[in-house]
Amino acid sequence: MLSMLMLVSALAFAQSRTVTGRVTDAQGKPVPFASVTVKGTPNGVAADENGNFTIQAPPNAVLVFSAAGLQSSEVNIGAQTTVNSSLVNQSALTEVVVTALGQTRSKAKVGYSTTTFNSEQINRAAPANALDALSGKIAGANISKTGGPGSSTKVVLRGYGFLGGGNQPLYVIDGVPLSDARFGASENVDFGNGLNDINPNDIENITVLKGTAASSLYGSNAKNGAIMITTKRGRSGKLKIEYNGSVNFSTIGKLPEMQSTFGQGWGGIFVLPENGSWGPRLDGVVRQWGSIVDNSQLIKPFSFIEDNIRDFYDIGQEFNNTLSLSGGGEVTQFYFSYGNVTSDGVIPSNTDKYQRNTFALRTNSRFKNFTINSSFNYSNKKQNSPFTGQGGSDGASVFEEVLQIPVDIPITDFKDYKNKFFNVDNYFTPYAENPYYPLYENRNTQNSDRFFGNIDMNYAFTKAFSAQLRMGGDVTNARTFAYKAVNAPSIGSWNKGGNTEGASRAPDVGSVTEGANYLGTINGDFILKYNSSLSPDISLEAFAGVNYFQEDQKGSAAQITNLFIPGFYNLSNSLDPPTASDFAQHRKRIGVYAQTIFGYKNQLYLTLNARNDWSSTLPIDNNSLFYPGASLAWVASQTLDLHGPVSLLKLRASYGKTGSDPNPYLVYPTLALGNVGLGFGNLTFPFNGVTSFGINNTIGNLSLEPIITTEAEIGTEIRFFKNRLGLDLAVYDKKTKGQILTVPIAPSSGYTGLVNNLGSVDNRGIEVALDAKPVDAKDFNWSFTYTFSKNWNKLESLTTGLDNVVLNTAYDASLIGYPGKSLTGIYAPVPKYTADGKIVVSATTGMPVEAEEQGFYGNSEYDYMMGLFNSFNYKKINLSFSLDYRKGGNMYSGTADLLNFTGNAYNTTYNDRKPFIVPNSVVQTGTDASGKPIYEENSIIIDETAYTDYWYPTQNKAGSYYSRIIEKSFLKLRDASLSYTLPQAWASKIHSTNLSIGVYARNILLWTPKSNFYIDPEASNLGNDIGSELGEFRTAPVSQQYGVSLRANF
Amino acid sequence: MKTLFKNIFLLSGVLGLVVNIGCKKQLDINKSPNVPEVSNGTPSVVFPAGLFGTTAAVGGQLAILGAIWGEYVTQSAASNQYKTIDAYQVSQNDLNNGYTQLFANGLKNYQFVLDKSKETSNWNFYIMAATMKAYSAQVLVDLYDQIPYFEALQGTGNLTPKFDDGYTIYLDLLKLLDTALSKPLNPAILTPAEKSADLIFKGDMTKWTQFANTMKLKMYLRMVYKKPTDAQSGIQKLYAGGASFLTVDAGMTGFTNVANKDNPMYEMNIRALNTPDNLRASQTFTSFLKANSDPRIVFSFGTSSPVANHQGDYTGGDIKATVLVQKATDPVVFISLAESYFMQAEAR
Repeated sequence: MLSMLMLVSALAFAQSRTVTGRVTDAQGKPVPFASVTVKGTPNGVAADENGNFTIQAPPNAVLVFSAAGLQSSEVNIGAQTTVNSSLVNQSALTEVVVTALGQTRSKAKVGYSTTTFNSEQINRAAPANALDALSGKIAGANISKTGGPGSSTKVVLRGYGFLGGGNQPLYVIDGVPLSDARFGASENVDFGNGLNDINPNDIENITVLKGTAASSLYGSNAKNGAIMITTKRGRSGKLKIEYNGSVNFSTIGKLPEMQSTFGQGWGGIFVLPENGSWGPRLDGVVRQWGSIVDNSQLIKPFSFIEDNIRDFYDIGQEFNNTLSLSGGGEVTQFYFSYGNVTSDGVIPSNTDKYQRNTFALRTNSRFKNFTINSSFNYSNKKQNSPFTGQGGSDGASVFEEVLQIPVDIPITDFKDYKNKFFNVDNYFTPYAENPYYPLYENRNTQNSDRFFGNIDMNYAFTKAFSAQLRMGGDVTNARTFAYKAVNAPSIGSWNKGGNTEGASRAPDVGSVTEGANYLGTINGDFILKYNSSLSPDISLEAFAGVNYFQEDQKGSAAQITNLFIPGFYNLSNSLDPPTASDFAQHRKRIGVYAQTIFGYKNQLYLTLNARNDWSSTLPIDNNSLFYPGASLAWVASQTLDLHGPVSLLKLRASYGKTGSDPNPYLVYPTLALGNVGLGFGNLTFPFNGVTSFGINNTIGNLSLEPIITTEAEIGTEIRFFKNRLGLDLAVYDKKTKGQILTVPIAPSSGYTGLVNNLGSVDNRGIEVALDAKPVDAKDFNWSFTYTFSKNWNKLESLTTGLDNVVLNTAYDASLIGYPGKSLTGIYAPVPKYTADGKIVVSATTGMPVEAEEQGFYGNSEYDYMMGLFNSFNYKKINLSFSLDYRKGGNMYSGTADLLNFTGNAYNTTYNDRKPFIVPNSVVQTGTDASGKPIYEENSIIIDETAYTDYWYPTQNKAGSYYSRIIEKSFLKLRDASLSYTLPQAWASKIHSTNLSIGVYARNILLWTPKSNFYIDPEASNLGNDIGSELGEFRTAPVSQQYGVSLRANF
Repeated sequence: MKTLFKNIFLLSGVLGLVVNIGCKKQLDINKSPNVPEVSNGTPSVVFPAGLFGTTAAVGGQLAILGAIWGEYVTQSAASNQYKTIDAYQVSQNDLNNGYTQLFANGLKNYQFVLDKSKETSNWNFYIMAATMKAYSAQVLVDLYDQIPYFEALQGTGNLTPKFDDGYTIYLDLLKLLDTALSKPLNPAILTPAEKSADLIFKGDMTKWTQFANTMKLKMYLRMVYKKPTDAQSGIQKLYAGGASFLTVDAGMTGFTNVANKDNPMYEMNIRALNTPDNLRASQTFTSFLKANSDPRIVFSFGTSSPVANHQGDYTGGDIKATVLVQKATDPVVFISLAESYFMQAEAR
């Protein structure tokens, strides 16, 4: 095949001769695989790993040499047959970025802030998901992974703008939007988001478009910015094989700190079946403990178990391998890759496993004026995910059970969960379950198949005028299967009344849940492009196009509880019929758009763009949305002819408007299955052989409007000392109006909710990125990048009749937006205070009295974020590390809540658990003549038995939330890697052109504030959108990884 | 340049045409496939949902309110679910659920059935909805006196309907019942599905007539002190016209011991709470039952000598007071036979 192509090309260029040469960089080092093309023809080759190339070219041809990160150069070969080229580092002006709709253009023309990453930067620490590699490296981007292998990643660019969720950016792969859905997710389980299906080794580069001006061409999807991913493509030349492999081991990260003074018991005394550490002081004496079985008991010393929870967790492993083949001739090039990730997390048993197989095949073909590129990708995932959050009547969730083990009882002893002392009948406490039971007996799995790709055709009519047709699709099928085992303690056993407190554990009725989800999108663009000069000074780059987008979703779920035969997990296994539900959703959008860029003397660029969308989810008579945008970029250093230290001064300004059409089906009134809430419990149909649908209590809105985001941004990029030092500054103000919410209304209207556009959220902030190369010598160089960003978020207004919007709740703590304040504020009960600052306590219990209004505990938004990336290169050794520091912000911790309840928490040894009186407190003794309360100094003692109640909301709602809402600042070492490129002599022994090995570490938590005794602040099981800002609710801890990697090119 | 603009112009024209032609039809897909459209609603589809609204309120939150204020039971001394009710310290939002269910699930759905059955002259469902509307509205008027009525149930047409006074509402309800009673009823045309949709009487229209008459009687009796002339003439007219009254209980039956399909007071007081023993015997009730050797004492409390607390004495009362006996299958009675006879006795 290759030889045929060579023949064809040889015939076509009969006049051509063989030209050879070498491509080097400014330091004289070879540029491996540099691209060499004959200008004005499709004839091109890639140099080998030593920069040597061979190409057919006629005399006086112009050869164009280019490579990533280096400035292209053109050389007229004249009559020579040997041509060498030296390429200099790319200046900021010729760097290329990918902008909306997959159009590449030089960074000079771009009037808004962008950040780019190349493949090497992304894959340095061998992440399984591309987004993990970007965490902490982009100013203004809040990126956090919320759990273990395969879990979801939260990505918020420039603050939360949307009350109802949908704050993730648009992901675009090779110009086609990529769905980022989360299937089967709830507070109890997370199977990750759509981006997890992409193999990071397939990515050539990522450009992050943070602002609305940048993404306004995408219209209704890109209200939160866009992340543009470009995949690797083949280059012409001989067949290249690349292998990337890594093995890493994970250990558990931050775990709660326990108090080590008091052991099992309640109310200050030792109680055998209790699940907390409210007992006597630990004295190391060997005593009997746990259940009494067959008239015997186990014995152990009554002392603190060090690293009790740490020992519960295993060492996880992850194997990540990708093999790619690429190559091609002058007409067609291809790229094929196969990647596999096999990961077992730190939780013992198969509870957290992630396995992904990805296949990719991409071709590029060029025939004279016509190019056709294709991309076909398939990703298969098999994942087991742990049950987090609260258990239910069907079965337990692991982390809740681990936290309810007293500090003197070794958790790992319970691994033998069928042992007569540790089983369902005789586990030491009826108030909790053996954590190893749900670990081995319950399971949560998801298998999914995803296929996405596109065909991209380009035809150049003339040098200036061309047309592009791109059709893409993305189809996912996910199947979820979960089960919880049925069990009940036997009558008379320790856990069914046979213990010293006579308590019983309610049976676990077990459950089987089956879910199926389908999501398919089709996206087509037809674009006409025009590039020319209107005059010698004025250049024009313009395009106009049409877009068609369609999304179909279908899901169904069925569940049984009350399993009949234990161990048999099928929907037929219950006396009760399964509850089943199904759901379908379709939406379509048609858009037209246009953009023109006027350039003046290559120094001043004005970009104007406009898009109009028609959406199926808006009322049919008013379904049009218009989005304009404009940006200005001025390369001031060229205009002002700056010399000296400043090598580049560029000023930017931009303005853009995007929006979001609503979710489908909010417009028309409907019926709804009869379902009535009783306050506690419900009454639902079908009932008594009859079913019924009443008029839906939520009124649709026939004049529903889209949500509109407008943003203005100004910025500058300054580079000093020939590019050795650079500063990028951006300031933005983003307003999101017309949020779509269901507002509660008076039931006398016949309805309880109205879907309405309301409210306005404002995000403004500043982003700073400083990059420097302090040392740049022949053998050694040092470069670093520092980023800083701060965002101010404010809910400017809601609507009449709505004072606030509650975004999420956990017990009495809530995430609420009040107009005039930050959108994500955390509120919970606080004590009542007198005018002179004394706490009012109850005259009966001595516990703080609750104030009438909930108190404000702080915003969840970080005060600021900083990142630092450092890289040292010595000959062939590279050492890099990256730090992520986030200061401020608060969160609610469900882990803290449970640990305060059980007396395991570090802070529950206040006053050495001796009786105390709430400091600085008063009681109300009556009211005076004018009705004002009279206070007297409080003398009610909280004794040993009441001490426990002080830490729990049932008796001390007012005072217990201070230990549950914590500051979530942290400093993490995101990744550190040391790599070594082996000498060519060694590599050649295995016929390799480039062999490098490395070691790396990821996600090491270095610091959290003293008050955070509990959990890694990034962990959350409340999703990856605005609801997760409340915090976490008994979720799995996150882990850190240490690994080795190998890269080989052949 | 000129060709450029000409091209752009032509292009936008073509694009505009393409977009317009296909656009509207392609994008008209915003009707949810997951729920029925309002046009699918017929009286037999919607009526039971309305019944649930009345049942939930009258059989749930308001039943507990009535049981405590009627001094049949009192809040347990060992827990605190209904302390505010027993202390007569009910605050503004405490009874929202009953109010919401009666309006948004009850009255709104009955109005739909009334309008639809009037359109199709389906007088069977007309009287059913009219009677239930009268029953539900009358419960609200008796509790609050002034409720939104004439401007209510219009959705976005009026989000802040004004409050009307109880008397005017009563008159309108009586008029509605009269209209319903005057229409020809034909139980024979009811399909089996429609009969099942009548969760109270299974399509027995005689009983509905009796229910409607009993409702009228109830309302007139309520007016006796404030509007004696109305009451007098209304009751006389009823008897003169040979009205027959309920000879059976009118209420919802068929509850089973399955979550969300059981008696609302059982569901919300027992199944859905951690503590299932909030309602204990009240001395007011037990002393009456004992004094009259009333056998229903065993029915209500499981024993002929229950331990009872003084009404409202949840701070000092006995924590071992007898718990009220409740079963998941208990019916929710709207007007019982006993009440029907009682009212007839009062009328004479």
